[in-house]
Amino acid sequence: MKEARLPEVIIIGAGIVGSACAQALARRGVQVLLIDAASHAGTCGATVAGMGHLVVMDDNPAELALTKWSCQLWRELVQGVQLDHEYNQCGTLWVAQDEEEMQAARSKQTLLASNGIASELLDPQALYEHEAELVPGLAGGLLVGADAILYAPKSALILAEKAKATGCVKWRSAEVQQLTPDGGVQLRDGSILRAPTVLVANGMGAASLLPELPLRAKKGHIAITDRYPGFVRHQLVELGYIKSAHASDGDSVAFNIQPRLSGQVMIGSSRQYDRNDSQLDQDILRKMLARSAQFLPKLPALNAIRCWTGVRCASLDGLPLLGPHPQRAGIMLAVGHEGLGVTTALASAEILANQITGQTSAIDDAPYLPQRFAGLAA
Amino acid sequence: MTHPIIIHINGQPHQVQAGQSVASALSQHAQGISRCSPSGELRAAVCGMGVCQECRVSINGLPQQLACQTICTAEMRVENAQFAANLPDVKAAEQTLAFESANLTYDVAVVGAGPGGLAASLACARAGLSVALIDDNPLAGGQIWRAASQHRGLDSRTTAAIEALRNYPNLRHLAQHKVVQVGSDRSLLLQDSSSAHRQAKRIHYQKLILATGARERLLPFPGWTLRGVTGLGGLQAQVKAGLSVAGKRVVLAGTGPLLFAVASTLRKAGAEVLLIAEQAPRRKLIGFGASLWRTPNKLSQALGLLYELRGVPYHSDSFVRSAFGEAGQLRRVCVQVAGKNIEVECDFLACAYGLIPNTKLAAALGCQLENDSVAVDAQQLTSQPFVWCVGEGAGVGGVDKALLEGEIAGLAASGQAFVQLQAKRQRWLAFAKQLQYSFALREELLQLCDAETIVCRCEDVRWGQLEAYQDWRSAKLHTRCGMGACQGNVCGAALASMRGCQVEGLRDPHAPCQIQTLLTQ
Repeated sequence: MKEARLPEVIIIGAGIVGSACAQALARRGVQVLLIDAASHAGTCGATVAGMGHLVVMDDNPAELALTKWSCQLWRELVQGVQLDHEYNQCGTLWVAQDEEEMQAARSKQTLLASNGIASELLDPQALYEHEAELVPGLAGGLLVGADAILYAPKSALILAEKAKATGCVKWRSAEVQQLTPDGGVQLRDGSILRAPTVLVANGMGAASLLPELPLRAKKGHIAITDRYPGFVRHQLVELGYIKSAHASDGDSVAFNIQPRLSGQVMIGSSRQYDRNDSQLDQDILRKMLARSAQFLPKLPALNAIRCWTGVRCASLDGLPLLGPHPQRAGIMLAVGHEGLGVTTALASAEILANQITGQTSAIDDAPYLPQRFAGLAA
Repeated sequence: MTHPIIIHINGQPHQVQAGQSVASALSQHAQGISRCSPSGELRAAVCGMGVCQECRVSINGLPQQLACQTICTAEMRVENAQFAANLPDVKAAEQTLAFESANLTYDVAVVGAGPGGLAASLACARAGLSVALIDDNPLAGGQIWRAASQHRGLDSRTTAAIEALRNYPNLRHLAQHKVVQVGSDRSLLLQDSSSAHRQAKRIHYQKLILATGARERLLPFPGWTLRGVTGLGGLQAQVKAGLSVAGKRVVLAGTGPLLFAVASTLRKAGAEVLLIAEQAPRRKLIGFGASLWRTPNKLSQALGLLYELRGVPYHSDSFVRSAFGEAGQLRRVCVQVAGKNIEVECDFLACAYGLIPNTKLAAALGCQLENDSVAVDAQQLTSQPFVWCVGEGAGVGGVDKALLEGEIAGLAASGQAFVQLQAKRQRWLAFAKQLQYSFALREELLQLCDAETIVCRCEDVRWGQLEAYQDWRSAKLHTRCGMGACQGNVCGAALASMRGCQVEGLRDPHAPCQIQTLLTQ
């Protein structure tokens, strides 16, 4: 029998990010204790609430580098086991309403191409050949064919199970109460766990463990329909998304639709700043559904069967915090992924695991280091 | 009242009777087939009352509609799984967009037009209050009095109450309206499915009386997803909605007085009842019978039914172990009778083990629950000072309890005296307690599944898949159990009995509804 070894790393949170980190560390032979309040990985937080859209985003070079690399890691991970993850390479179809947005599509295509990512510009005819239910009169779109969707709770569970199977990762179902000043992990039952490194990966939960972190809650709503196979075939996102979702501090909605493998249609998205509750807001739900109906005129005839909310854990500059806490020795951060936690989970995990084991990552990790925030300066 | 009409099933014309349900028409002309389950089973209606969602078909170009809740009209187009009409057609979509929405204000909203809701509505209407009586069924009367006007020899209180509905201009019966959202401003958002031109309505109220009744406890066993296996009250409801069982061989399994009521309905409709399996032990049945002296009308009702059903094999300590079929259609069942297994060939198996109070609306309103039912005080008031709850939702106890509680709540909500009814109320609460004790579930019923048995019918989640997950949330997220259209109404309740797991609270919408409805201000 092997002697039980003390963990070198305690990971708090077994959502998609924490589970990916556990697996990345386990692959490097690091002894890990993975803690989550739920009974199984992938059962809590934004992981269960989000859409599971794997998308290359290009708001800035750092975001592009992280999402591109992570999408590649996802393709490698699901190779041959796509259905286990409910992975579907349906592509992202960015929909342009007018010539201005079509221009944005062209710029996007150029930028993606210069980064080695293929995409296809669609004129109106090609757009309606791809998606017959879209409202007439649209200007066209941009199809990024390599983008995909998956079911994040399953992927998180698979990652955690893989990690456990190495023998390096132990699982503990417990609620973390606080981090003690000397870096201990205090559980609800009062007991304190210790390890040389504590990796905080519990999304918005991190804000209560470490109130100094520059994190902000952004609540979102989602609705899902009964099964209507073939209604839409790609993840559809309006190109106005960037304007409407990021432009202001107010509540906003955007057209963001996903075809689940089940034939169900998942409908997003909404953003409400600094809302950390799970209460369904019927008013913003209505606005969100109305926005989608403007693009898909038959959508109102479909049956909705369930609506829910989730809270995205956003950083103040839109990039995740990946790396050592500048003021707290032994504490590492993997939080602030906002709406891209699933997309960037694997790359985030690689970066963290490399930092912990003293290795270098395939991309420069400097843009994601928490020390970039003045408020966290050591 | 009824007359022949033509409807089109999968493009073929068929003659049916005006007023019968689409589900019953499918039974006559399409082997009952409605939807295709995710793993490829062709299913038929089960619950007969809009709970299980198995009877979803495309109606007039609109997919995923409930056949059991829809009445056949001339030239209606119905398409089932064999026709694969997945998407709304242009006309159906246009009709949806032409939706009108209305904002209406009432003193009192009553949800549920069964005996409790009827009694409450009438008490409020008599006091001059404006009342909206909301119900998702085509006809008033609830499950027990469903279509009572078409069946002679039933409770005389039935026709009286249903007819009284028409006598009050201040009382509006909103049939085929389902509640889909509870507003924070004392409003309910309803989807009106009473005609092809659906509507959304927002009802504003001062006081709310919940009479949401109960649904059947459908427990999984091998073969329970075959066509021909239905709920117990479920088969009765379907027969009342026009399902023809003349000459059909039926096995009934379940618990409590409902077995007799269903057997009686089926025999009157021409079915051959082969066997009645009562899961409760004999000694408890004798105890229950002896307790009926306290409720003389129940005693005479029981004696009447016993006489009527003499000659029908009735077994205590008995339950269905499994069902077998061919091509998805029930052929025979295996019944454990007093410790021994016997096999019986039959066309229908109507099987359910007791009733589960419908409490989700109350929970969404923030009312406290107690022992799986809504907690109420002597005037049926819940923990919310503007919400009353009556009938099965406040504790399963049958029609007499529901009628009385409905009247009490109606009187209380309209500021009238109700103390004179308290002694009677105590008697029916005692009867409810006796029911609960006498017909408590036996352990074996909760252990009938094998690894391959489907537990979640909507999503085809099997018992073996659930083994790794003890709590509802992880089971749901990792197996899809409870994620289908019924939203755990069936499997959640079954797992709560089988595993004692806590099923999560309700999310909008309270019942599947068109997105157009959710767009209503």
